[in-house]
Amino acid sequence: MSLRSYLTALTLATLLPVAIFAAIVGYFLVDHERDTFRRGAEERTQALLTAVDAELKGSIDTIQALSLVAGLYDGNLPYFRVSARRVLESQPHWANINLALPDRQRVLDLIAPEGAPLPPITDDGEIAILLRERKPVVAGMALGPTSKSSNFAVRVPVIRDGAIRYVLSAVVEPDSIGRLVSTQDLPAGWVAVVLDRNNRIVARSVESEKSRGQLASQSLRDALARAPSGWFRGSTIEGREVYTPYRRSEVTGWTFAMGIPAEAVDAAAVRAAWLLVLGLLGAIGLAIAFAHLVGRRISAPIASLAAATAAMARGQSIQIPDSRGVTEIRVLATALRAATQTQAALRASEERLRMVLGAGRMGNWEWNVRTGEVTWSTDLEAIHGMAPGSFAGTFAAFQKDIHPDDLNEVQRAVAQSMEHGRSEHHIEYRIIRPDGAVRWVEGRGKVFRDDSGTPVRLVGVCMDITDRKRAEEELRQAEERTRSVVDHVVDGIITIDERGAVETFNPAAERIFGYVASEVVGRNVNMLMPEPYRGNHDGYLANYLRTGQAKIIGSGREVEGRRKDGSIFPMDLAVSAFYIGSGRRFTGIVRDITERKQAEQALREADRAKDEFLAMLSHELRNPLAALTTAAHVLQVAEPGQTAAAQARGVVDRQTKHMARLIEDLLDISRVTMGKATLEREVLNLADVVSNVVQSWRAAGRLDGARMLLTAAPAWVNADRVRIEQIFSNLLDNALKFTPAAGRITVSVRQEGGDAVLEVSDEGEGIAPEVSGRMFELFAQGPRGLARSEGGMGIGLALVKRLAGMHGGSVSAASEGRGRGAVFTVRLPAVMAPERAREQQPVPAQKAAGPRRVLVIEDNDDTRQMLRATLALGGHEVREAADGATGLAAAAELRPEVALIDIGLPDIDGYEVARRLRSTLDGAIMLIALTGYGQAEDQRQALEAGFDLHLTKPVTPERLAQAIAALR
Amino acid sequence: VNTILIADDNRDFSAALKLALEAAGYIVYLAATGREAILVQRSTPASFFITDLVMPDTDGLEAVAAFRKEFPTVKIVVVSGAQRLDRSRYLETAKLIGADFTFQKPFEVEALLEALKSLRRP
Repeated sequence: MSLRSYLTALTLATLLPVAIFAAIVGYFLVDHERDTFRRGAEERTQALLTAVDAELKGSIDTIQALSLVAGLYDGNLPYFRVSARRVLESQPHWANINLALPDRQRVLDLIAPEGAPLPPITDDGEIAILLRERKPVVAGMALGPTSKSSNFAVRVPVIRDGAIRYVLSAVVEPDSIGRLVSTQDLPAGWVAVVLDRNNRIVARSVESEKSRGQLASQSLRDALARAPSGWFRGSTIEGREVYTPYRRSEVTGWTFAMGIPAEAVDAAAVRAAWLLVLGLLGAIGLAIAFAHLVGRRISAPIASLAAATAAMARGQSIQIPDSRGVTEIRVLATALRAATQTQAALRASEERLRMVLGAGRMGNWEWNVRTGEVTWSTDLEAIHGMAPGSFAGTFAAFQKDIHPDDLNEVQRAVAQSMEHGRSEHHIEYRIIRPDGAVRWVEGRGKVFRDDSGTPVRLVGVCMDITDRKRAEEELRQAEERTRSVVDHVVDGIITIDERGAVETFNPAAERIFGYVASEVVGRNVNMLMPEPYRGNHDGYLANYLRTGQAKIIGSGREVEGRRKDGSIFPMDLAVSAFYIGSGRRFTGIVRDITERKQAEQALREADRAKDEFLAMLSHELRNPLAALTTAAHVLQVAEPGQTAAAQARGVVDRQTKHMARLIEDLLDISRVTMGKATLEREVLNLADVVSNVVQSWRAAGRLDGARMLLTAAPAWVNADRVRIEQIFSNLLDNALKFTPAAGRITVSVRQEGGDAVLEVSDEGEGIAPEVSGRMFELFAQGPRGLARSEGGMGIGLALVKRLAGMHGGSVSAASEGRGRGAVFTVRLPAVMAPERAREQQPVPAQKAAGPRRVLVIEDNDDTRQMLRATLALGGHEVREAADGATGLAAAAELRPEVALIDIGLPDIDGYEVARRLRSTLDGAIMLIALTGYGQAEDQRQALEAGFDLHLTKPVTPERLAQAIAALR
Repeated sequence: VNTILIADDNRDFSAALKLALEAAGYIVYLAATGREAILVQRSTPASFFITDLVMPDTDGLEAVAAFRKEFPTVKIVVVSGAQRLDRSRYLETAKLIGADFTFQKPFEVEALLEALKSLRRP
């Protein structure tokens, strides 16, 4: 029930006694009203009855007076008649006067004709009264037997001598009474009535004529039977509801009554009652309205406070309205407002806490040790990857989530915190979420105990620290990586503090400086520096710290370092500064550049050697050319027979061979260096090869002027004969160059263990120590300017070294110093001698070849003509052709026994020419290829095309003659 | 006025050049080194000195310098196979220190004879 309902009920309850009292008062008021009315009506009835009595008294007095008239006593009736007549005439309402004997026999009647029999008078019982009491009576209404109208009679006794002689009656018209009634000014609806002794209506204010003589209404008659006067509610003869006051006259026995309509009587009371009811209702209405208004003023603020409280309960933010009306409500609102602020502050605090918990991915939990119940916040469930509210609520359910490896530690920590004297635990452990994800969490818990010290509950928070763990792991790995780099980097890394004291010294720095870290750390870094760096370093460092002016920091430079053994070495140093906290540190990265310096030096020297080689190459090639051109000039200007011409021809012969050898060496070294040279190995006796070369050189006069000593023991090798000859020739050439005239050259071949050894020693100027290390390098020369010895181009020994290497062997040089000669030793892997050592096949004596028909196909005119001249001098019949087509035609005509064919012909190449010749001339011809290409591949191609022999240009006349002579 | 001293370690070259110059009417002496050339010149003065730059025992340039100093009237022709290299422009250097003509080997003998002829004019 609402407050307003209570207020309304309160109002009504207050009004109820008032209303009851008012009703009672009202009732009495109505009754009083009605009583007042009744009394008025009764007074009026009394007055009217008195008037009726007076009227009747008048008639009685008159007739009594008449009874006293003379004549009656004496019986003189005629006289009396006369007197009676006068009286009758004087009384307007009198209809008759009669005189009867006490026995009711009429004796005189004024209106009855004289002499006519007279009827007795009517008697309703009044005669007896008259006779008994000797008093006048008023008879009731009756139809007069003589007057023939309804009148009433007033009768008086006529007493003579004490006896009643006559009854004198005056017949009175009721009009006289009727006038009394009708002249009353009665309100509408009222009825006034006069009844006679017999309750017959004498007069009536309404319907007078009609009702005259009738009996009064039953209710009136009943009332008259009960009491001579009174007030009752009854009905008129017409049946109308009326209140009736009535009174019977004691004098006449007549009754006067009034009929007052009940409405008229009740109207006042009802009006009063209505007034009371309306007043009461108005009062109640006003009271309710007022109560409503006041209720609103009270209930509205209370209702809003109630709503605010409900909102507060729901946790919503609320606004407490101002309330100025009711003091208590104002106080309540103020209190509520304060409560709201407290609650808002509490909520804000809670939200902050929740935010903190949420931001830190933190959840809280509580474990009731007695009941075993564990409650988790939803945040904690979220940390465990569970839906809110799905945690089972037991310690076992919590343990189930813990990573098996961490479970023991968690249990131990919790158990320890329960022990007496401890109360808190702090652990980090892993959990496994339902989806299998592993998370790191940090838990802090506190035990609360009862008075006896028994643990009652544990409360704690739990935080997801996976990210922190990951970051820590990453940091650890990063440190590991950095450490790994620092430990394994080639460069030395040294950090120092502001005072120059070494803080770290990595393994590479240990290797570079020869110290172990513990010998250096904490000491001044200048111990690693030679002067002047050492003396300057502290000052430099202090200057930098004071002014910020850096000399090395931020850039690298070459400085010198000092090893533990005191040796000084060049190094690259890069220094950077960094801060740890407020302290400054410096990192120096050092690199030992000794090797680089050496390499740079070597590179410079190699570059210089290359330049010198090019200069030398130019010189070596241009010199023979100069000799050749000069000789050619001489041959042009001198007669062929002259000595000068002969000498010039000698110059040409020597210088061309010299150049050919130079170019051959160059090409060889290029092939060997680029790995394009191939070996055609055979098992051969090194001693034989060396002997043959010596013999042929001696035969060619190249050993003239030198004392040559050869000691050769069998030493078998699996080698390329041509290359072995080349090795020896180069060594021999080298020895000849450096051996002064009459100097001795010793050549020795022998087997030492698994090696076949070739040794060439001379008595030349020897080898300077600074040269010996690199004398087998390409382009190596002695330290000479333009004033050089009989040196080659620095190719020969390099070639020897490479060729020996290709055979799996080696070459070395030894000298006891300048001017004391040198020994070159070649070692090759020895092999077993063949079962039957090859018998020394004597070099076949060069038999003179018989004249042959020779076709020369060569597009270079000079070469072709020289070949022709050479062949012609040999006695052969020669035909020339400058291209392939001409050559084929010439061959068809000449049918040559030998054809010398250049491979690079302008129309069809030499291979094709050979194929055609071979197909047309069959085996009856010897085909010799002439080409600048001397590689094995070129030879193979030539043989496939049908050539019998492959000669590489330049071809000496001797070789050519030998080839043709071989033709059988 | 028609005597020529040739210094060159390539004996075939100096021999051939000697033949060619003799055919042109010159009297030619030979030396194998720069030092030898100076000795020869002292004993048998020549009007012209033809020298290589690359020789044993004495740098050709040193010989040129020595001749310019000791025998200022001798006309000097340098012939050399040394190529022009960035670091050693030998022939240009020779000219700077007093060579009247330079020829790079190989050269036309006629051009040399022309040069000698021009040097013989006052």
